Amino acid sequence: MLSVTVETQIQIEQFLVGEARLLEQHRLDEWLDLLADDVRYVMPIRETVERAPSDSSALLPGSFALYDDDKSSLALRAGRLRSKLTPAEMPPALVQRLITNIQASCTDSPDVYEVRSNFLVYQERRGRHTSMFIGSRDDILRRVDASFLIARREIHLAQTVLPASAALFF
Amino acid sequence: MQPAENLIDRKHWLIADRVFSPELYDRELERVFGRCWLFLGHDSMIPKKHDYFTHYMGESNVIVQRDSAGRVRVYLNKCRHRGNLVCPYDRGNASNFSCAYHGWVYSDGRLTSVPHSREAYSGDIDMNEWGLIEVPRLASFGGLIFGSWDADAMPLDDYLGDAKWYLEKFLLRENLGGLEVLPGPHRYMLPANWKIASENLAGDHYHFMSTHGGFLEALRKSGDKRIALTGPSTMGEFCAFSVSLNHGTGVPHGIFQLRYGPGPLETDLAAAEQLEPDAVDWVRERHRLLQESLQEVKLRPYSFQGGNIFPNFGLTGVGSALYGKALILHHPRGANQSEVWMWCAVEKNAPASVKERARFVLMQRFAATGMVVADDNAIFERIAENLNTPPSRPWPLHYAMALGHEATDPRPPELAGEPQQWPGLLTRTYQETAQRDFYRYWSDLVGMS
Repeated sequence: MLSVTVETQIQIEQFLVGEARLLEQHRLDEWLDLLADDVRYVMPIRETVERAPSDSSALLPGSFALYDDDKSSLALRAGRLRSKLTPAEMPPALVQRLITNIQASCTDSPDVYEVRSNFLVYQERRGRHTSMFIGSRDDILRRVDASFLIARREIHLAQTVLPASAALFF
Repeated sequence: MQPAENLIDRKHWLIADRVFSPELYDRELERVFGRCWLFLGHDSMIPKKHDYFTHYMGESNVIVQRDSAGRVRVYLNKCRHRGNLVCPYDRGNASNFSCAYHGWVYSDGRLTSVPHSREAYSGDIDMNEWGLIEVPRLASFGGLIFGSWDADAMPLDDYLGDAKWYLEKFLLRENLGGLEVLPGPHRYMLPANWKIASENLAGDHYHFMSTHGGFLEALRKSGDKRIALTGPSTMGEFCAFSVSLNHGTGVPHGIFQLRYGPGPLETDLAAAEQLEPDAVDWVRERHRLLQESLQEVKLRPYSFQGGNIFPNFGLTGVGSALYGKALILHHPRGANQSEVWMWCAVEKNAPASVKERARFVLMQRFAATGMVVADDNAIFERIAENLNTPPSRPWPLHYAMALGHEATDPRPPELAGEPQQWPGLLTRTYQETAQRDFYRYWSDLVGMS
């Protein structure tokens, strides 16, 4: 695993922080623009399986994942969040995102990076229904001009039982 | 409107907040979850000897395992010595369970080893007496496994009653090769009483347009046709009903969106055409076999969309050949908290493209991260927030929709002359008969009628 230059590391960190800000501000169209047209966005379920192979958090093909989306279905989800007819988002849930432990590495392609980060997503509805979702993300970022596109995001919750149902982005 | 004097006013169908109160919670754990037949899983989840998964019956930790002889057994996940969990995993394969506290070992439910038994017990422990507590009644219906703590419980066949016909014809489809449950349930916490969610699946089709308006609008605007709208405008010609199962005679299960007419099949065929020719063939063959299995009735429904098997086994996504079928449990976790489990079942012999679409649709709509469920749950948590606060508590909730209209044939004029051969009480789509049956039976069980 080859580490990236300091400059690239900073650019990637700024990109991920900016992405989180767009989601916090409900700027969902701008967020969708950060996704490659062929993006794959997945979140496997987490279980504690006796004598499981060490990589038990991997996405099993054909399993009932929490997310296994492409750009079109993510746009549909964004459409619901924006609709103003959605009880869960009327009023909009307050969401704050902490993105940390950002570790970027080079790949065989000069403009493609593997980026691992941790997240904590805090959500509050009506001052009393609070949930915290916590986990890590394995991203593939493609450099395009001065920015990046998310080509793949695999989200690994550190939670087997989710604190609430969660139709939000990670 | 007067404040509620009774827990449930069965004349006017008013229900007091106390139905959801902490004072009644222990009683319902004992008398509802301790006596009813509870859904535990599907045969395909534990195909091999010693496969197991851990589970809950009410709040009790249990292990569901295929034993050395290949038989499904269900044990309390509780060491007989001090009560520790003997199995802390979600699932696996193990010939025995060893308690981590002092090392007692159980195999096929029997206590097989007690460390240092000579020095510690001088041989004074009868190993045969101290096996895991076993759920006394187990039965399955078309691969669905149910258990009951009540040794005197009525047979599962009687408990399901009218529900058997609907489960067999439209969900289990053993004539097609049956179901396959995909790995892993989704699990999440819901800050609301389990009954609020379960009664919704029993027959609350009334909420759909209001609660899910955002989802419906997003679907209308989206170019993504994989997650089709369900409704008269997009499903062609059909009529739909709710059905109160075992109405007035037994255990109250309810189903919603029982669909009759050519529209749903045409919609499924159109969706299958987007996939591949094999998918179209599958939908046709599936329909041919359905017709064959429904020969006994003149009017043959295409499907039902969902329902609730009392007390807390919910179903949704059953309505289309291209939907994943959700098997749902609303586990009680206190008067104001539930833990929701949801498995995705697909038809085992369906082409890979159909299974993939089915899985995708369920993930988008009803999963823990789904667009439909998120809005239901936002409502349920707000209801829970409002219940049992003095002085709001005396004012009852309204469960009287279509009260007194139960005997009216809900079928359109062109069908009204035909015999009604479908089991259960057929009602119009918007009704609360199923919810009234649910609470009538529940209050009898908890002894508060």
